[in-house]
Amino acid sequence: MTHLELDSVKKVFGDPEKEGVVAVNDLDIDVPDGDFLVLLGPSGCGKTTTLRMIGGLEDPTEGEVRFDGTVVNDVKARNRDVAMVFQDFALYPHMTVRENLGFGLRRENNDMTDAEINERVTEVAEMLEIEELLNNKPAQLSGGQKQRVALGRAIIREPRLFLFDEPLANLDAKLRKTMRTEIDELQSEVGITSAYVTHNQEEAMTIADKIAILDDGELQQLGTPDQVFNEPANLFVAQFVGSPDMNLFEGALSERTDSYRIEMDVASFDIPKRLVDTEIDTQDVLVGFRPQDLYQARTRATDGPDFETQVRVVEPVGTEAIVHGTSALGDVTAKVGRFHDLEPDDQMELTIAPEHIYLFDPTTESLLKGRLVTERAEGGASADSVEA
Amino acid sequence: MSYVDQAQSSYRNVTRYIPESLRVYLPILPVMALVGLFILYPIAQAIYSSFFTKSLLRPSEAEFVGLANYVEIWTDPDIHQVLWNTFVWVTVGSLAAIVLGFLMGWLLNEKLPYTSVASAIVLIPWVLPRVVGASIWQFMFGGSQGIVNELLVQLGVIDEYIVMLGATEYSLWPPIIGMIWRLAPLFALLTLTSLQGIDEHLYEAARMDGATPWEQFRYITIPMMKYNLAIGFLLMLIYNVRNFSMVWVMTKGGPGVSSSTLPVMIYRAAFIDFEVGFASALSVLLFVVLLVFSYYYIKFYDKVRGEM
Repeated sequence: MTHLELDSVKKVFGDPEKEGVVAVNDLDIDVPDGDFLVLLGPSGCGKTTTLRMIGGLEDPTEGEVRFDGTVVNDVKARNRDVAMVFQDFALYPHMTVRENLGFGLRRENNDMTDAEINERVTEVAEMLEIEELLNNKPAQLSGGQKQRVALGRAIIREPRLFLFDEPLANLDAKLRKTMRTEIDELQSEVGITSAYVTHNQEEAMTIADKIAILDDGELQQLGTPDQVFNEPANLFVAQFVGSPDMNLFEGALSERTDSYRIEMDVASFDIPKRLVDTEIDTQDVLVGFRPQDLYQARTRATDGPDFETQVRVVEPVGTEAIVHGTSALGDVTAKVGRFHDLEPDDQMELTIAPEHIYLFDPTTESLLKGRLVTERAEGGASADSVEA
Repeated sequence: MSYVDQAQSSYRNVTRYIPESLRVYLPILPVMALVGLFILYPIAQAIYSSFFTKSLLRPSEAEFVGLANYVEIWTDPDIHQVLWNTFVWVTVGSLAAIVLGFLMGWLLNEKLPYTSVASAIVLIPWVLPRVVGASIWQFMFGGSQGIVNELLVQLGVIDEYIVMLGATEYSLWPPIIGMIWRLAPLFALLTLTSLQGIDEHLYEAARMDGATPWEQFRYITIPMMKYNLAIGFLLMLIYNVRNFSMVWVMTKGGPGVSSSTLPVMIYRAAFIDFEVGFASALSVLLFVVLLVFSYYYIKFYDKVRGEM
């Protein structure tokens, strides 16, 4: 039960006076009690360093790490009462599962007797359904079982904070999804504030209360999964979150009475001003279409642009397909239904609703207009109301 | 038909009349022959010789005496001193080499400046030719010019130079010290490699679990290294038991037998007194001791490999 704060935290590896490597720069993150924070970003963005600073395995060069308002910079890792799950699980190979689980309890000044520790170990093992493995050594366990033991070792102490360092990266795809759900359930159940590092945006979106997206040691955005998806602070966030990648095109913008007119190579369209929160005063814009927001014009009509695309590849994913095509605007990726009659070299007309279009400033790369959920676009042709 | 097929076919033709159960040994026959010639035959010869009185001066006059040579070992006036010396060598020498080597290995594993250079330098005693190392120590322990005497005088431990290598009350120790100097680096290297084999994440997990540095050492480092350390310990025992050069170069086992160990006694019996039968009986005794150590060495070695 801890309110975690990072205040202007900076980490420089090597000599800060000389040419040290800045791993994390001026990071401010506030995680309310019981929240699940995910640190998301590409390799080398500083997310793991941030996690290790929270755990006390690295010391911040500048700034403060606070638990419930108390600065813990000088508190040693072993005294922070924080539990961490490592990517490679880091189970003690010479100890049985029972000893692995009990190790942390035995290190605390908790006056627990051997019998009490054993009871607690059994309780946690039952919760994670590993009670029949208690006398095995880690080498005898499968990946998923090791993962459960690693989780058990974290929750058994009822710590102030859970830290997860890419805990699912070493598991196969199917197990990753089950364990993801289990971690999520477990965290909600015990209600312990958690920080979780991953480079997998899908994992981050499904598990997080708040996502902190980092790039090159800098915080790009801190927000809910919905916020980072629909209102990405900048182009980096927009491209990092969401799969397949967002389509980006150049466009020219001109202001009209109650709308902005966007002119692209083969399509022009208006975006009503009521859909835009900010005043736009640039001439050029970057226009972003999420593949999921593109529809075939034959199945759905919108107020947005229509454009011809020549199909290159159709990748079926169940009820929908990811279609890669070439248009006058450039390469386009769309996720569409009714794909069974589509063949390479076919012409397909794609369209997108103005609510769903992202606009970015091409020089600052910051967001001008995000994706609106349909409720806000009252009146006019709502994108979701005319499904054919 | 390829060359491989041809070779296989002619192999089958040649081996057609050899039973299947014996045929499997054919490919390792050359190695078995070498092992037999250079290892098994000398051992058998030594055991055989130990039942004869045989002098190198008159080798043709060998006479079968049964276990008389073994009985002679126990009645020999020097044997108690020699066995005691050997025991002191093995215990003191091995333990000191282990403690020193462990500390050296530990220091080399710390992220200190110049550790890679240091780990190369530390190995010098081990790679130096044995006689060279022993000669250096002989020189340093010398009674009139040795630096050890000078140091002890400077430190005020003794008032004037004393004879060390030639005095029965001291002569055992200089070779042991030389051997510790020689073996500690080996143990340091063993320590270093097994420390480096421990996953850094285990220490981090232990820190997160609330373990103090001592608890990390006690519950992670030691258990993770125990078989490696056991192997190192047995290596120290084996090297110390069979050491010959350090004693021979520094004191020749004397004065008297004051610094003699079993290998020195064997050498004296065989090549100074020319009593091959008696020397062989002593060798068999040493062989049995080494066999016991080697048994445990192989056992621990298998355990280490089993845990990997």
